[in-house]
Amino acid sequence: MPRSRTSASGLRATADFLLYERLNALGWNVPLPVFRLLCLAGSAAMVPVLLTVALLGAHLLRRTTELPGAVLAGGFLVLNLYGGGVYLLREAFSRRRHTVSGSPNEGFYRALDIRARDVFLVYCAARILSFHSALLTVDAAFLFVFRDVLAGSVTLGLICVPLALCAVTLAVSARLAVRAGTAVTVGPGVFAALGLVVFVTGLAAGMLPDAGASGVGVSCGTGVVGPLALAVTVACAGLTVAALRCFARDVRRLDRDAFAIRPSVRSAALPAMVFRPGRLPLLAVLHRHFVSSRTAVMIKRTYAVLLMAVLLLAGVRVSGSEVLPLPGGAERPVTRTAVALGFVLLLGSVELVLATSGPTALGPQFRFAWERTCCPIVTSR
Amino acid sequence: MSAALYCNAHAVVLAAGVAAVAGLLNGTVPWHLPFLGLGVMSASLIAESLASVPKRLVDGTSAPGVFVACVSIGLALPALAGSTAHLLFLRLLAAFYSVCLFTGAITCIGRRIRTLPSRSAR
Repeated sequence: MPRSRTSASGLRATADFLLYERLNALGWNVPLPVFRLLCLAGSAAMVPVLLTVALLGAHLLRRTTELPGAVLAGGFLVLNLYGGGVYLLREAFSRRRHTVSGSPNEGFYRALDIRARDVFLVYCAARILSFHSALLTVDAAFLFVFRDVLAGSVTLGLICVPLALCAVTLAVSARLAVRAGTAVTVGPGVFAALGLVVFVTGLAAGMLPDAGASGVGVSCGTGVVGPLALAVTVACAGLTVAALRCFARDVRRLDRDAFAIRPSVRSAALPAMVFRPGRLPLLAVLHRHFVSSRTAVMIKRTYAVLLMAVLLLAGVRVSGSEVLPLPGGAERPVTRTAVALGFVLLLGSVELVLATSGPTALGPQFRFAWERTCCPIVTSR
Repeated sequence: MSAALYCNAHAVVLAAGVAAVAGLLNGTVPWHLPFLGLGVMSASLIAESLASVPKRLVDGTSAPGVFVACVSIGLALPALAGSTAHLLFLRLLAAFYSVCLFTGAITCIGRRIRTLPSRSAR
């Protein structure tokens, strides 16, 4: 029967388990109470150190360069969107997705009557709030130093962006904690239809600017900054409220149906590999193992998102619009952004693939296959 | 060999997808991105193979380790730096480095499998 309040002992037990996991990952031979003290002291020291470093850096930037307000605001927004966006990507597209729902320790939590809400609060919410507190500390130092350049409504608009990012990350993480393990698979027919719709959307989007070329252009007057900042503030505030409502609803749901015993996703009718190279028979086994693992859904979704993005852009290109390709000056920043985003996406995906199909997870199986196929002398001993 | 090929295939396809998106935006496809995928996956495979006592969770999946994370990022960083460079020579060098990492990954996994204790038939 679900309880309405989170007991302190449940949170403490979960926090101890998290500390033990970290100790295990670090490989340190330190007693748990000492490690807990070290973590607490490190966290307490982090905020003043970060604030001092950020203030020094912002003062240095102010003394060495004379940047206009628009450049400062743009840089602030880009850094926040990049930092917060990459963190959100990591929450959604890496192993962190399975911190609560689909966790390897799900059976352990269920057996010890540890509630999913406690696990979510200790593992996910604390992690997200720590990161965004650090980001907000740096932002506050930056806005304090440049308070006379970035004044009034612009400051309010800027400070709303990291808050909205924090709320969205919390909401996404809570949603994944509720239902990461209950993914609904989409058939090839639905997928092809979706791809066609996306392609046609791109085609239509490419034709729109040409159709509206004779219309009234967008004018950017000098007095646009104030209303724009107000619009950003309102949009971010709305997004924050909506995200926090979703977060609160999902946290309540975590209490209601946490760590439910669901039917296993493994079935006998797993899709086989289309291409089977005769000289590498282990490839088919690896593919079968990977497809039956819980991380395969995430990788498949990443493929699907990339394919949809390619179809959308291909639609715009096929329409003959002048929107794409982007002008020559944008090539280098776009390529660098693609490399940076690709690197982050790859780090997350690599982690997901290797967790279930890497040399650690399948080491004994690889050894067994090697003994049977490549080295019969070992087995004959 | 199969393990390295299979894991790297995923990374190369994902990186090729990102390259295709960037190519459609720009008009020129960043051909070096699939090599970055190859480098990142191979670096992680090498790091996992080099870990002295790799940890496994209760469900058999590998546990995240600080050593593995640091070594894999450290090995992948030159490939990333070369990919962001504008000079063609540096990009070619990064691609060559990724191919070297791939061959290193095959060697390391082979060594890891050969040095495992023969208790797999339990």
